Parts: sequence; structure tokens; C-alpha cells
Amino acid sequence: MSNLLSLQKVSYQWPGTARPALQIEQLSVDEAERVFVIGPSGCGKTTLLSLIAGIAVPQAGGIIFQGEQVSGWRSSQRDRVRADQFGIIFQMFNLLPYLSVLDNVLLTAQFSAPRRRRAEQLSGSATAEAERLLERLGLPVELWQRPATALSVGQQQRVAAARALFGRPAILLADEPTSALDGEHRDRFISLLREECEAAGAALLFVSHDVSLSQHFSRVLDLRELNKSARADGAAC
Amino acid sequence: MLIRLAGKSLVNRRGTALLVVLSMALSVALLLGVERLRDQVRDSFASTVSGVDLIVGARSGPLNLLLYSVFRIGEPTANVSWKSVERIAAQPQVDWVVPLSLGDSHRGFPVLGTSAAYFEHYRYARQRSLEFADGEPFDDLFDAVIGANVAQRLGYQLGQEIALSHGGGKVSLIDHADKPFRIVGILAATGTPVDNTVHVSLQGIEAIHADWLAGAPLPGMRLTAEQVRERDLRPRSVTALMVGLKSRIAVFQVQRSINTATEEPLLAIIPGVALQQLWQMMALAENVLALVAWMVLLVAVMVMLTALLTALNERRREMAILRAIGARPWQIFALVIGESLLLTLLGVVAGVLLLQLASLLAAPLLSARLGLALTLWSPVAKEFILIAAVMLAGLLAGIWPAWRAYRQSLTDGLGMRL
Repeated sequence: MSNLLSLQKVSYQWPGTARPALQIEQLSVDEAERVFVIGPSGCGKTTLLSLIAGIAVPQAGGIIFQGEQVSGWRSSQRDRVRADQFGIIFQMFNLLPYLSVLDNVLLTAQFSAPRRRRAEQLSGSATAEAERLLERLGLPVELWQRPATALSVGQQQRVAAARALFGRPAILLADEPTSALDGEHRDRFISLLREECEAAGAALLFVSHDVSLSQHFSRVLDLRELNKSARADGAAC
Repeated sequence: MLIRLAGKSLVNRRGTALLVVLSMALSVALLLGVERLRDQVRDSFASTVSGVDLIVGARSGPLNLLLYSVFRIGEPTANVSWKSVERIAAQPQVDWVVPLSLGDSHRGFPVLGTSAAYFEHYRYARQRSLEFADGEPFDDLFDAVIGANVAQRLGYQLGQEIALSHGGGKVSLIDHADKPFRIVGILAATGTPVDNTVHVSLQGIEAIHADWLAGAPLPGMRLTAEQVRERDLRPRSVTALMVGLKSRIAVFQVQRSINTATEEPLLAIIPGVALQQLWQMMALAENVLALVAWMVLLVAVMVMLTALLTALNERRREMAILRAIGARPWQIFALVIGESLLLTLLGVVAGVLLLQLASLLAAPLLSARLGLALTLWSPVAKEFILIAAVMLAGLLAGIWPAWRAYRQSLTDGLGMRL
């Protein structure tokens, strides 16, 4: 397996804070790899994801994505990479309340032409691909035209997964996507996410404080150990 | 695509959006309305007197004379003796004179006593002469020619008999019911006070007052319509007269000779010059109105700004989602600016429609009261400039919240702060 993403001696400090939120010596993810990152809140989870997604740029060190040093790129180029190659799922409230379920999934295609093309190659049309994903993630047809807010939290998270998977991104970033779900739904959601990432050939970087979920993943990392800045802080996180 | 998103997001917050559009619409309607009223009132006034070189009346103010003689606004202070009329008509430079005698009314519409020359010489709207929709000029002593509005609003037809009343009010205590007039002509609509006027001959006016003295019927003396025909009905005085010259070059000379005449204190005015004075007098009021309209626009823009800034906090999550999907910061900026433009555009459209509706309702009222014609849609360059100014104001108002959204999208990162 070739390397998809790696962070080298990365350090990041939010503007207006006294010390770095994140200092990582080395972190790498292979293509189609499924990585679980344990990270209680306050350990630089959001910072890590922002850096990987290219929304924040490290003050020191480099981030290499698909062989390119993206941390040196201009912000518009990083936005392009994120639109074309990343799928992001938040903890909750992933959907735009004024769009239907289907339009929320299709939103990805509106911001990325390559992903629209890939979707068209897969299913014939962007809409057909969105419908295929919604169906695979167990969302019944009668929900597709409903406003996103009409869905339960679990259903909303599955729509968010469909949107993140749309148009075959290289990697999915999931930030505690199951924290609002109960036990059975949680495991079912993670299985679905795994299967779909596998089918799409996408890597999955799953961040959570819940260690019990790590069984689903091939590799488990602990952010408390990765983040030197957090270690210096002591037992806080 | 961004416009679609902005639109859908706006529909999601339609309650506030509607209020913003409404306040914007009211301000646009006011702004355009003030301009439109100013222009159209001027056009309408200016087109009422055309082809008249001088208006002559008893000595008062030029505006007073212009307003009561042509627009039937206000009251004349004194009359012009018939001797003076004859003397002016005899001047070599004078081509024609049309005497005007006011003071009576018919069901609220003013009655104008004049000569047949009126129909020949009166011009409105750049040299258009009066046309008869039906019938012909008055010939007999008790003939009347009515304006288009009078005919339409009172449902009058040729041959019908009407009674004139003394004085100008709608409700008159004293009638001239004993000497009815017969309608022999109905004029085509002109969009001037002529539409609201009942025209009779000067002799007719004399006839109904033959048994009157000092503005009241003489007690114990009643003349029948037949008896009055035997009387000497040459007019003793008129309210004012319109004068046409053989050559306009002589206008100042004739004006001067009338104004300095020692026989009777008279005033001759050039309608165009008097209108200019009227505009100067009205300019202050117009400017105050325009200033108020601009202030209202400012308030509407601030209402929109408040709504946009308040919504920004609710929309922080929306922006974070869009950023995660790959939206660039400038697209976030465009989304907010687009919303302010969309709101302004909707406000402009609604405002223009509102104004059309208001004009539609006000036009008959203005025409009935003042005989002024309002045209409904006049897409003049000035209005487009005003609309462009409103759009610009909307754009400028959007910059601040858009900039804040832009900054937020950069500093929030992937964090979903609430």
C-alpha cells in the first residue's frame, strides 16, 4: 500500500493562544487504510482534522498528501484538494436544514467537478449516484425529498456519510460521528462506513474518545501520545 | 449555484427576509414616488397652459393669478372690467383674447364662463387644441359644454339639463335652478383642469345673475329664463383673460403696458415665468420630501444590515459545513453579499409594484381633484439611476456581514463552535 497522507514534525498554534495546540513528530495514513485515533476532547482533535483538511496551515513542519507538499500550497489550492479528495463528517448537524436529503448529498458535486464526473462514471448521473449511496446507507426512498431536519440524528449522520462518500474521495475524516448515536446504531453506522470506504477505495481517519469503537479498525493511534504538546500539559487530556 | 443556495437559505429564514424586503420596498416606493410626483406634477402643470402668451387678472400675485385662472386653485381677489378687456383686445399686437369668468359651480365642478374663442385658442400639452368627444361649442344663452371628467363621473349625456350653483363648494346653499343649462357638447379628455370644468357663455353667467346684486338674489325680484333673454347681457366684468399675441416678440412690451395701465390696476403674467416661480417655491418642499425618502432608505438598509448580522451567528454552522465540503472563503463572502443583493432586488421589484399600485389608486383622485394626469409607467433614466443607487446601497450594506462571515470561515477551521 502506498502512502496517502503524512504529517512530518508538524506544529500548530491557534492565533491568540499561548502555546501550540498540536505538535506531531510523524503521522501517516496509507491509501484505503482505516485508522482510529483515540482523542479525548482538548487533545487537539479539531486542530489535527483542520490541518489534515487544509483549513489550517502548520506554522512548522509539512503535510504531504498524495505525494505533494500541500501545506505549502495557497489556500485556494488546498480548498480545491479538500473539495475533490476529502469527505468530512462532523459530530452532528452535518446537513443544511433548508435543503432536501438528496440535495444535501448532491452539494458535494456542486463544489467539485471531478467528483461530479466520477459519480457520473459510476452511476450514469450525479443524482443516480447520490440515490445509490443513500440506498446503500439504508435511507428509504420516501425520505430523499424530505428536508434534512425531518430526519432522526442517526439518519442525518448516514446522509452525511453518503455526502462524504459521494464522488469517491481519497479519504474520509470522521470527527466523533457516532457520539450522538446509541450502542446498536453506533456499531451499525461504523460497519456501514467501513464497508462503503472499502467499496470506494477510500481511506478512513476516525477520531473518537470512545476506545470501544477501535475494534473496527486496522490501526489504532492515541492522540495523547502523538501530540507532544498535550503530553507536556500533563494529565489534562 | 451560489445564488440558488443563497435563495434557499433565505427562504428558510423567510420571516425576517419578508420584513426586510417589505421595508426596502416601502423605501423604494417612497424614493421613486417622490421623484415621479415631482416630474409628473411639473409636466402636468406645464402642459395645461400652452400657446397662451399672457394671462391678465386683477392686481395680486403672479402665482395667485396663475393658480386661480388656470388651475382653479384659490380665489380671485377682484375682477377685470369689461372696458379693460376691450382695451386690451384692441391693442395692435394682440391677436386674440379669451375672457374667463369663474365663481359658480355644478356639483363641485367649477363653471367657467367664456367665449367661443376659448375652444379655438386654448392649447394644452404642446399645442394640442380641444376636441369634442360629442356635440359642439355652446351657441345659445343656456348651452353648456362639459369636460370629460364631468361627463364620466356624473354620467351626463348630450341634451341633459343641469342647474348651476352659486359659489364653489360641493354643497351650495343657493341654486340657479330656475335657469337650467342644456349640455350641447362633451370635450375629449385632456389630462388638465379642463376635464373638470363646465363651460358656458359669458352671457349665460350674466343671465343667471341678472336678478342678483352683490352676490345674493334681490328679494322680491325674480326673472324667468324667458324674461332674462330680453335683458342687456353684456358682461360687466370677468375674472381673468388669456391673451394671444400676433408675435411673441411683443410679449414684454404688452405685459408692461397692461401692468402700468392707469385706468385699472391689472396684472399680466407670462405663464412659463409664473410656473418657474411656482417650481422655485415648491423646490424646498420637494427637497425636504426627497431628503425624507433618502432617510427612509437608510433606515431600510440598516434593517437589512441588522437582519444579516443577526443571521450570521445562526449561520456559522452552515458556513462551516460549506467550508468542509470545499467552499472557498470568497464563496462564503459571495453567499452573504448575494443574499443582501437578492433582498435588495426583491425590495426594488416589490417597491416598483407598490408604487404602480399606489399610482393606479391615486391617478383618478388626482385627476378628479386637480385635473392632473399621472402616467403609470415612465421608465425614465432618472428612475433607473435611483434604482441603481438603491442596489449599490444594498451591496455596500452586505459588505460588512460578508466580511465578517469571511473572517469567521478562516478562523473557525473545522471546529464547530456554537
